[in-house]
Amino acid sequence: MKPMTARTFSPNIKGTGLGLRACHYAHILKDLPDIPWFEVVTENYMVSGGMVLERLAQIRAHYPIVFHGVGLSIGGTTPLNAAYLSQLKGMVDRFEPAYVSDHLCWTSLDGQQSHELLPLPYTGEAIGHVVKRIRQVQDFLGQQILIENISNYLTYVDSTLPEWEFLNAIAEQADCFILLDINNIYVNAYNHRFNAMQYLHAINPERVKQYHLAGFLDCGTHLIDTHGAKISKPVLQLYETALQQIGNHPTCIEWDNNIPEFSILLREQQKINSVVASVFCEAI
Amino acid sequence: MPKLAVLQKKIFSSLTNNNDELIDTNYFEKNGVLSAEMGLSIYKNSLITTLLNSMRDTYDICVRLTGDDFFNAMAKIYMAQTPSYNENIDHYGETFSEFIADFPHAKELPYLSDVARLEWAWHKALHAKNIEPFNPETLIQLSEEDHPRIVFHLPPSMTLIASDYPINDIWRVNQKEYEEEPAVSLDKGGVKLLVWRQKMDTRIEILEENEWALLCALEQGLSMGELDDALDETQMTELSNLLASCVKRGWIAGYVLA
Ligand SMILES: [Fe+2]
Repeated sequence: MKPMTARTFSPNIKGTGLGLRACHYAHILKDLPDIPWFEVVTENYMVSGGMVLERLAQIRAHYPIVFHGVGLSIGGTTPLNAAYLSQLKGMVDRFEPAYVSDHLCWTSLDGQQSHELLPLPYTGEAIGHVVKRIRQVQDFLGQQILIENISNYLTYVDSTLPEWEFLNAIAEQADCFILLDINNIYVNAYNHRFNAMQYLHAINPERVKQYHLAGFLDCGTHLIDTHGAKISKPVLQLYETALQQIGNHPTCIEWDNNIPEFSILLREQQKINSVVASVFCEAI
Repeated sequence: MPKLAVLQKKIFSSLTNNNDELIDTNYFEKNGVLSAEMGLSIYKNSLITTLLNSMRDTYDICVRLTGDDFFNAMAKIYMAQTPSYNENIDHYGETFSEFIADFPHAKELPYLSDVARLEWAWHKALHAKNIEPFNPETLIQLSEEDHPRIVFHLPPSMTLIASDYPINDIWRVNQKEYEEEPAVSLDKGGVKLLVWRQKMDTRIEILEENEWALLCALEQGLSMGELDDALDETQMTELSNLLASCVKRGWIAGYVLA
């Protein structure tokens, strides 16, 4: 395996990928569906051995993958978990993902895990803190990472910036990239009453390398980002705007709850392909 | 302490201890449709659901034995007193069988704790380190004097479980694929089991008394010279056969010299 050189970034994925879920392993390996790449939740493979790693290796032999983490806790105020980072690096060396991403949030305290993506206040203090930690992670991994905007359900009195300025500032200062989750923007815009278009307009397109799309749950008063449904119409419209304003980037469909048959995911994927084709006048 | 650290400590404690102390503070504001109370409760619910779903996956036989309501209630009490320390949520729940053993409401299902132990052993075996099969020919190079110093070790996937109940049958008849009535006679008595994984094949094996005695001694780290402390006379006379059969079945992973 070739050693990583610092600060290189060589995206080798294109088009609409899918989140890899264990219940689809058998189908994928049997049919080898026409999917350009899969996104893998990194922590699910943080085990010593056995079938899940075996399956990932088999799938990797046929498809490019990206690593998407949920446990880095980049915004946490207790030290980054060195054992976690070493394990992540070992996996990056073994599976050579096109991207390594995690969320702009905090998830743990003193090693105790919430398994939740908890929001940060949008302050200068938080920017400085997160930037320092992203640099630490990038130096350790020897490559740039992507950070994703989350859905959040709390608004801090302390916040002095809008979410998009917070995200831009961190990406710029840490010299990392953005994984822009369109569904999360929509959910936050609805719950916190801001203009999603303004968010897209403000995001620095130079920093965006990947999109996420997913379905939410409408609770009447508010929306919850459940990743348990089809992508909604307004989110598709927002995605179209993102393609126009920010550019054409690899897009992953996330579906983690009430996971449907693979054929339904394929249909969602084709739907996204046709949105991309319509924006860029490409033949599907 | 920096402001951010204080804030995170408070939020974490509120979410994991499920208290409401944060709601009336001035940390949050309502700038859209969500009050602080609603926001915190979304996180609290999600945190519990996520852990509970993971527990239900790991302990799905226990779920069948107790029913959903009982299992969920019991698991939530366990979760409230057992923090998660691994980023991979799959590693959560190792001590659940010990909790069940002391859980007064589970006394009517006296085998439940052992079934949970079996389920965790299975779960552990699934994700344990892959190993190369042990080659007994490597023993040939050892001199006669080295023999008492040999400490054989067991595969990392292996768990030894003794139960007063036929938990292997309970396990088998409660598998989703099992088509008959899931009935087990508890009169069948106890079993000694070995759970392990050979390549990608996870298995439950029923052990003979002498196999059990030897594997337990090896698990404790006893050297060949110390085995007579743990094995009786008949077992000692059969030792070389017993060892050879354990090696052949893949139950010995390797050795070191003490
Ligand atoms: Fe996402």
